[in-house]
Amino acid sequence: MRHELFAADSLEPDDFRPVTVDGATVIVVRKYDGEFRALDDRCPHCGEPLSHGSLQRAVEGDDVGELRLSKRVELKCPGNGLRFDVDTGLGYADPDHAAVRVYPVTVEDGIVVMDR
Amino acid sequence: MTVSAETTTARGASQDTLLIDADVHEYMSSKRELLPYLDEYWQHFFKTHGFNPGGFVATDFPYGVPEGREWKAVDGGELYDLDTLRRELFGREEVSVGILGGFYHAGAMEASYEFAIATTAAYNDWQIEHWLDPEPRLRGSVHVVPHQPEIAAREIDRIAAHPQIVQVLLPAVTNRQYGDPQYRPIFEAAARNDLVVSLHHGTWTKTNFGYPRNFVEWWTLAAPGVAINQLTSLICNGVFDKFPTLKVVLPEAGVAWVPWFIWRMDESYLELKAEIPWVKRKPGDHMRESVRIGIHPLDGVTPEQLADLVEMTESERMFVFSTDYPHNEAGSAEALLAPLPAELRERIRYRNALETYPRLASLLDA
Repeated sequence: MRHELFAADSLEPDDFRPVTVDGATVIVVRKYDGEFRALDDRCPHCGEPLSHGSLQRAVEGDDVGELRLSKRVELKCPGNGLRFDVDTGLGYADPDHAAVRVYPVTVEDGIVVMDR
Repeated sequence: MTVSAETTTARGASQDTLLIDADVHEYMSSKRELLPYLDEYWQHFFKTHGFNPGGFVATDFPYGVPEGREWKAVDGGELYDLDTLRRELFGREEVSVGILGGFYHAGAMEASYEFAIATTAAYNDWQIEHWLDPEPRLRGSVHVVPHQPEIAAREIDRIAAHPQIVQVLLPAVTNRQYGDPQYRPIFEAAARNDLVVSLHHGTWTKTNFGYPRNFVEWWTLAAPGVAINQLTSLICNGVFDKFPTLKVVLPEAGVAWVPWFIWRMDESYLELKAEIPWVKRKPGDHMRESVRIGIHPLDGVTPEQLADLVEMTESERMFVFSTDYPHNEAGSAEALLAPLPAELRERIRYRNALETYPRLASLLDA
């Protein structure tokens, strides 16, 4: 079902906002590049609202001492620190066992629209 | 040398009764046994520098060892005598194959590296001539000085040419962490030679607070403590990601800390992976894939509890049989293993070791 959420320009890049959709809380993320994403606002591991956490760039590296910022963006849970990729909902450290549901989100005529 | 299951058992038993001991200690009657294996310079040094004639090196171990924890053969035989080991280990304990880990660990020396390098090389040659060549049921270790990693790697390549060598023995030191990339040549050499790396504590191993006031404190803390520290370092610094076929064995470090360690490390990793992005798998998964734990001592864990521990941590491939010969407080293998479920008993008796030590795989060729 299509839901019109809020004006796109009311949320700055690198920020997020919880919204209530059909009685459920969803967190809408605006990535550093301006793209929007929407995810369930609940850590699948501890149940804490992800909207009480923080938005961070992912870190990558293939050998000791290699530390570089990824283009990926993650939500960090306030309860246990788990991070979830806002594109896929997958847990950064345990993608096989922890994932947050993601929803399609677009911007139409300056309005953020989510399908849920 | 390839030894089949049929020829390696004391009773000519079948594969079903293979018993592989991952922690056996061989002894010298005196360090002077090393003299023929040293060059002229080091022979002179050895004779002129008042080298400690006792059984230890590199330690100021401040405890008397209580009765029952001393190193002696049950039948009173001399520990430096191969026949004593044959009677005790292959006879009384019915071990099929025993892996020697040494007792003289010059690699733990904190200084005089050149001397340590010379004596570890001499020890390796002595081990081969006095124990491995005469006894096909024994397997051996390459002893190295870890703080000289490139030289250690060359020594591994040299000694690995002997077919009964199955592992590299690293002293479980407490003041340096083997995950540091400076030690990688050692793990690389072990991996390219199909050798396991065994980390064994010794009298040089201290607790986080050094030597505590009493032996009971040292015995309780030192070996499990250094095992946990070194495993944390190896995992977090990507050694198992870098060398995915490498196996690390920890004999005589206890078993009861394993669930705690797996659970705490996994929980830490879930939160803090961004600090170590080169670690691609959960620490518990690395433990299950790459780390093996000797079952002596069992830390008071009953065999039934061990089976529960294995189930809780999904670690059926992690534990290997070990006696720590000639430490004789371990109890008989049969008493330890008989109560276990059949599949786990078989795994601990020999199957886990066969899957861990590439050079033991031929035991199943018979």
